[in-house]
Amino acid sequence: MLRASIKRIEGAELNCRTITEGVGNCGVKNGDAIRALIDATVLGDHDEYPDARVRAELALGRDGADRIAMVAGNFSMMNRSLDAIGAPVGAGLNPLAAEMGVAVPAHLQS
Amino acid sequence: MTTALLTEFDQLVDREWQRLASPGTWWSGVQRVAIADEARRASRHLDTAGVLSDPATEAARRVAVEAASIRAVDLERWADGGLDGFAYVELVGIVSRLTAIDVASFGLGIDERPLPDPLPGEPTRDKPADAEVTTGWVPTVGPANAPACMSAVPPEVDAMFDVHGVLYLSLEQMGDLDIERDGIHRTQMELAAGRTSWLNECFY
Repeated sequence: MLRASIKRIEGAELNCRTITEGVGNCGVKNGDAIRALIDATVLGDHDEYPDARVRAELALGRDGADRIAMVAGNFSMMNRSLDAIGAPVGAGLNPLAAEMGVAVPAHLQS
Repeated sequence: MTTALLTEFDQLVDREWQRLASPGTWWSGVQRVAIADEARRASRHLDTAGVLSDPATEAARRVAVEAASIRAVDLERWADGGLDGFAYVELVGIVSRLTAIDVASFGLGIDERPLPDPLPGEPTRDKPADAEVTTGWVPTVGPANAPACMSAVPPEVDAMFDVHGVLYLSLEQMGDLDIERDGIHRTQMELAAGRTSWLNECFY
């Protein structure tokens, strides 16, 4: 969905590897601030959260930062729901996984 | 200072707490709250409360903090210990939505809400006639994918999409690749989704 949505923005190009590596320009506007808030939120990092939150609010506004936090909550739900029931990962995602520098575990391959 | 978005989130938690406290399909209200309590204990590295059966306790804790480590053999072991596949699906729904609320609360800078007091009543034990194990480890109606992951327990599907619609996008909004919510473009939401999944070691 990220790749499909970024194609809608003229001139934008996605660097998938930055999603897994956590550094570098991913090609998404304010991507660094989003990534920092997601990291602090998902990891429950009390030390990193205050700075990440301020940085996100400066870049995205208060409601924008709140929306990013809520998206983190949603996908923490979906990740658990799918992992816990053994939903297979479609073979069509293997090229994207390789681009991101990861391999789909054998037990999830369809 | 509250905002319309925080009010919407608070109302979602009200609904989720009502669902959590109420009897479900396979678990009573007491058991549902106990499952949530066990999940929170695991996320805080606290010992078990010892209220649930051993399989339910382990399942609640594993889904909460290490769902990516769960394998089919674990479900077989839990089933041998009396944790039915349908009841397991409901347990996964309870823990997953609690995690959504707690993670979002942290990111919003608000305190976790204490768990609700359970309500009396018996589980319905309603089972969809067409639920069966297909491509996943648990019964589903159709292939085991994101929309159908809870489909063996229909009220859990409704609850999941309630959370999904408030925190991210409704099913109707999912097809709009240009959508913006609160000044956040779909591309930015998808970056947040991808990074969250990476941190959770999830490949979907």
